[in-house]
Amino acid sequence: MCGPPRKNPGAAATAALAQRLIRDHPDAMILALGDNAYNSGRVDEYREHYEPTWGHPDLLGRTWSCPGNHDYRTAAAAPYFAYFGEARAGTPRRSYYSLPLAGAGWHLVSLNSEIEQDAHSTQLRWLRADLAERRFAPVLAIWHRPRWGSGAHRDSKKPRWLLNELYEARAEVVLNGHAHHYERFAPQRPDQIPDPAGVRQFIVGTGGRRLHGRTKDTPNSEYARFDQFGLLKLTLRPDAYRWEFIAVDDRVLDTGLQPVNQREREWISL
Amino acid sequence: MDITLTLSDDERHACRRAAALLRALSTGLADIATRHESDTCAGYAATLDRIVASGECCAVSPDGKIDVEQASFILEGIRDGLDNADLDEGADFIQRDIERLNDIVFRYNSAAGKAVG
Repeated sequence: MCGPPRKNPGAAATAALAQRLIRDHPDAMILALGDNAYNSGRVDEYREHYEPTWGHPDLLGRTWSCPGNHDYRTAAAAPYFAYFGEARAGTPRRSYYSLPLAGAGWHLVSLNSEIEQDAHSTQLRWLRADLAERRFAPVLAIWHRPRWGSGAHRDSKKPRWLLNELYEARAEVVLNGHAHHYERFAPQRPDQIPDPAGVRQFIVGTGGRRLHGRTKDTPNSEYARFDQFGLLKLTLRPDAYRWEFIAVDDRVLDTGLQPVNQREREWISL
Repeated sequence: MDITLTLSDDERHACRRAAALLRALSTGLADIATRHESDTCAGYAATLDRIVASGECCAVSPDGKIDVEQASFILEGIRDGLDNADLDEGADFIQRDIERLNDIVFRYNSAAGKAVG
């Protein structure tokens, strides 16, 4: 999201918006969705571009992340992992992690779409075990490269394995970056069949990098903006979540409330 | 670090086809006097040619991996253009090649993580 201003015109404004939001929500956490320091995630790029904006201590101290493809333009994305630290990003060898969001009663899973994620991959086996052992039922997952998208890069088949696993585990929400626009999908099955109890995907690639336009129409896309830098504010409760996509001028452009899915409740009551 | 990858036939075919497209693009860009872009695309094509030439087992350098990813991004643009012009079959064909190129990138990243970590 951060880089030389010419190609990253929105980074300072979105970081300022984040500062305003955390004033009202001192317990909020920030989820960075990869490609945080352009163009290659190098140490100097984090220092010169991320540090002055999103690297402010008020923000960095509450940031958890997942790696993007540009982070992997350094050897095994080592500067990215070093910058955020093992607890907030994992390590080059173990680049995925989870943590309980005890206050909200949710489970956060941070995954890596830039490495192998197929049926027999280490990452997928870890995800299956992690979801089976989670303490809190509703699941929020983050990774960089979206399965579906109407903007630059379009769809990516690769994360289908992650999505299959999350759907089976009754996960609620997936947050992705990679494409530089905002988009919200209806809850759906991994095969794109609408399902009120499916997984809802958001693309929030609006953190600062120059925005891209629409390239196609994608089934189940409910709302998309290709012209606004901004942040997605998620308010998580044990029984529901609220989303608000907020532009850098503080306008709320997209909002809604969704109960945690019905299948989840049935599953818990068993 | 160089990473040795075992490439499938599909992946090598995707590299071969992508290299052909990039060479054609490079030639066209040279004709309209965008030398830097032309040379860069030719460089990506050369990397893909090297990968194809090395056969099933291929040593990929960090720069080579980035070239493969950049090639897949350029193919995304060609795919989108064909799709916009309702040339769906070509767009679908290129989409499959993009996925194979990305497979190479993901496998490289996985192996690099194991080597560094």
